[in-house]
Amino acid sequence: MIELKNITCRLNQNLALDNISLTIMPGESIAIIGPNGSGKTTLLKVLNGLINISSGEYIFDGQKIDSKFLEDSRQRKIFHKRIGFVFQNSDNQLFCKTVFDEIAFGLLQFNIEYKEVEKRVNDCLKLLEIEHIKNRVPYTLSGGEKKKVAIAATLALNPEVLVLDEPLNEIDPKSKRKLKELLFTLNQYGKTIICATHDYDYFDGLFKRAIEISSEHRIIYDGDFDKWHPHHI
Amino acid sequence: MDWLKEKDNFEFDIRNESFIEKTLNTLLSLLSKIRQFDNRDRGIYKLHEAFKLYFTLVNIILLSLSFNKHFIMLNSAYVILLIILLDDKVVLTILKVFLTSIFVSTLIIGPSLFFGNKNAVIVILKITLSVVLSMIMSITSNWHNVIAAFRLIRVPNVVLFIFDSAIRFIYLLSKRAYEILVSLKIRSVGYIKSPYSTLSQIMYNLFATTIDMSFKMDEALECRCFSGEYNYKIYKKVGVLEGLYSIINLLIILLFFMLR
Repeated sequence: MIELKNITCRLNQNLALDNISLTIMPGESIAIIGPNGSGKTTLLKVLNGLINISSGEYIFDGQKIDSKFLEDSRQRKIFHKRIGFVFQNSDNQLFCKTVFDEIAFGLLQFNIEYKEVEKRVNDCLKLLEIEHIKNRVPYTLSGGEKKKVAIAATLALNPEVLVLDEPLNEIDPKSKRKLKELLFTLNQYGKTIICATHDYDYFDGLFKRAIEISSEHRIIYDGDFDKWHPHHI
Repeated sequence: MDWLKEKDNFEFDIRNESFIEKTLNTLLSLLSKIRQFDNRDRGIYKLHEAFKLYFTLVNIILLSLSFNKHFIMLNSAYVILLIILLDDKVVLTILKVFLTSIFVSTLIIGPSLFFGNKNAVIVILKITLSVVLSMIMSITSNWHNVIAAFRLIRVPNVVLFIFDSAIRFIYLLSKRAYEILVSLKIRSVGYIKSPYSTLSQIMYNLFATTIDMSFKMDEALECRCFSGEYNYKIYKKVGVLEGLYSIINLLIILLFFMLR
């Protein structure tokens, strides 16, 4: 479904990813691991078509994702509907005036009946246990609440691939467990989960595959999560 | 690394650094104003923002058109009624605005009284009433809902989105500025040698953050398939309160025409 071929990426002349190649099949659950500044977030942004790659090829479900493809707004919308991204800093992701509007935002971009939008939003509120804050202004919430709203807003679009950048930041232990269960269920529903995290212990049993990126921005491990050893970082 | 094992015994001067305190207080008050959007669900605060916005605008226009003393008195009574419905702290803020407005407009228009301008007092009163009316609307409303109310007069979606984002940016950047200042305060034991250069560095930091935030918001919009559709609903029901408010304001409008 996802294929990266020899991807190299530079941000402001600094090397962020160096000759990355990987293939991700539908329904996989992958942990992206690596030290700070190794390029985890850049890799996730490349997967979401948010960063132009310097060289290499990105193929999503048989379609080459390049600047030409992303220029077409219809194709771009369909692509982003299929691959959802939860940002590391939720402040950058939340821009509506209530939590309800925030979750409904993506759905309202499509020709979906408002009843269906309401149903999906309410389901997402319930899934993330944030019904009590549905009328609050998102940017005034606590860090953990913002994160949950950001996840709910991404989930509402029902993406086939869910990309999460440090989803456990600022979340309390109980909510971490709930989030793990949620991701586990979503994976069982056939969703592909790609998650950059330092808290891999919390996700025990969720990930089947680990991809480790070194501080030199190269993949140094790509294999079974259970066989991966923390001494790599 | 031996210095880490020993206790420091530095000498330093302590100077008055009220600029940090003042800036912190200003930021705190701004943050709390925006945070209050979530906690207002009674009396005049609960009133639907579209009603507040349009009746306030009509009232200000009528005030500027009218030179009838009775109408201006009637409006003064209406403003007093609104003030009675406010919280103590808010009344104090309104009072400050009221006195400042009276003072400034008297300073500008007052002298013309000595040159035969019989309307000077009325003009001062009209200015003050208009300022207080807009102040009451601003203090008692959720600004996002006020922006949403503009949708009724067909202001383009993208303009409203920019205004909405501006409020969000003001809040997030003020919060960041507050955190930086607090960190500056606790780290600057003694005194800051060049406070203005420190402040300019903070401003540069905020400027850089704004650019970064706007790029990331653009990415987030992209990821959520943004195509110009933005929900501008005000989640408030029109009830008895809005009915009463409309009746009072319609009476004022009616009296404007009757007293001409």
